[in-house]
Amino acid sequence: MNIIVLLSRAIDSEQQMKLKAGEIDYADASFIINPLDEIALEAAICLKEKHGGNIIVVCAGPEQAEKQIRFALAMGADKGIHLLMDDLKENASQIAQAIASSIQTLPFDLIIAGAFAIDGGSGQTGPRVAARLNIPYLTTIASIDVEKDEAIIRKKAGNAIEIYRGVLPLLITVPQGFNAPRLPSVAGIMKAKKKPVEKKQPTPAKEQFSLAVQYELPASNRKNQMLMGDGSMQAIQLAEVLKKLL
Amino acid sequence: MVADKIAVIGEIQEGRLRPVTLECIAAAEALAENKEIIVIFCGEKPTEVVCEEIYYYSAAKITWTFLAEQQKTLEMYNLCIQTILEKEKPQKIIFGNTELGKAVAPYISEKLSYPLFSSVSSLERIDDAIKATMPIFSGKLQQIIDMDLQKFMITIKPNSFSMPTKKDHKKIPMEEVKIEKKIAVFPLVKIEKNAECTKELIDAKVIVAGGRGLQNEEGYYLLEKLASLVGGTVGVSRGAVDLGVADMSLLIGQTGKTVSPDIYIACGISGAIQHIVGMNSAKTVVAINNDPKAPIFAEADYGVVGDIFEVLPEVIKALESINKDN
Repeated sequence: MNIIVLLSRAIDSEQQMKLKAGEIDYADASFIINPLDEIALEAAICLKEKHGGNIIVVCAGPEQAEKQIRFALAMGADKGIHLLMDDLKENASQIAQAIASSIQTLPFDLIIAGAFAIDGGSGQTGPRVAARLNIPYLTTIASIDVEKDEAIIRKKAGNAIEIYRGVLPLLITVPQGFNAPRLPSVAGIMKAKKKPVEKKQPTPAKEQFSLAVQYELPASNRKNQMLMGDGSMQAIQLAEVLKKLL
Repeated sequence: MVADKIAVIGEIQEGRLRPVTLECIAAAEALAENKEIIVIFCGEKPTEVVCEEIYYYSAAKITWTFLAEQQKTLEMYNLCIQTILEKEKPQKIIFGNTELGKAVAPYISEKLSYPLFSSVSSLERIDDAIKATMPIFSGKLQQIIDMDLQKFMITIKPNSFSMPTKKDHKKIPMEEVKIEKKIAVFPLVKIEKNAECTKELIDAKVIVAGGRGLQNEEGYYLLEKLASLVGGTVGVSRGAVDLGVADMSLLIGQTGKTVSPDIYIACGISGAIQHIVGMNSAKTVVAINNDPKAPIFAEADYGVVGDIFEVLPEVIKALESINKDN
């Protein structure tokens, strides 16, 4: 099976976001591999272990993103494609275009992406890449099984499970909880240093539009009212607050 | 001046209009003075109940297309919504930031070249200039964009917009669009219904959530008891999942679900940022924790410093007695 995994970086959630003169200050930002993309890669590795094949990770990001690509190679991917570009979340379309262009000449059966990025959160990359490549896609799936050139996908829908079956290629996105990604072994980390990472400079997209943007810290408009007294007094007050709200 | 055509992709759940669709209509009203709003439904003919609700607002027409149960798949939603939008050619398109919206909007954005702005929490219009606010970096920052574009698409963060102002009840035309459904490449072959009926966290109006402070099944039981008294749905933070008292499907937070209830009661939850970002759009937050320094209190409207094993049984008792009095 030829599997492509879409990898992205995300700002570590422990980070305080800093503003400087109304602009985001990325100076001290520390990046990690988007945890849901790790889950996507783990899903790919499990399929490779079962069906054999090859895993390529594709990552759009600046030079420093190589760190995340090597981590993916250490986990078990075979090759990396590094699209040297800004990975700002505003550029979802440009990133998807660059990814799709780099993938379309490659043989692939399955493309797997994390359902969303923990710092961007809008889950656009998967659907956009599928749209560009004209292949079907299914988001936040619950399970995947592969039989020859067909995949069987289960997806939760309210109180039911939907089962889809069709011919590959397909793009899927995987949610949190889909699996528990393995940690790279020491051997894996060593091997990763020698695995190929192809660097590409995507053609910069024509500047479509540039909008004035401001950034602000969100206003915290919570009452912060502490209910005082001993246990039973607090409980009674709380019950009354709840009764009023309901 | 030519009216702006604004398409709202509506959603129906169990025969009723989803509240987020009304929020989308409110957003459409905020977008332009001179406008033509069309509400689009994919899947079923909107019932009288649904139409009646829409008749109170400024929509010009309701457009819908039929999908058989087996055809209600992402592939078909994409095809139908794309076809209708290509026919209508709106300047603006609005989706709710729901499961449907999240999966379809980026696809449509890519296919029809509408720049997409996701999870808009408010819109401000001064003359013809529109400013859109949306949370970014898991809500740690807000982004305010000058929407100086003729054509764009937005998804609305549920529970952020007030309901649109009701106007005079006016019946509007309904148009059915018949779309030739190609055979799906990835068809839905079976639907297995679960006997169990779990209320969806993302739609819940009242949520009772627990964290590490639950300690064990007993703590979890207290959550369930409180939830049943307030008509709430149970959710958890990472701490409770790690304890093994609840499953990932109930997880609220950065890697779990984002909820926007009217009331959120956080029991034994410390308030780590990864959890806060999943619930901070709740209208009212109540927190109970035995650590007065717990970060959750900064995010709460009402706080109680105390042991949940002491406080919750008392609250339950007090609520039961208030119920008896009524």
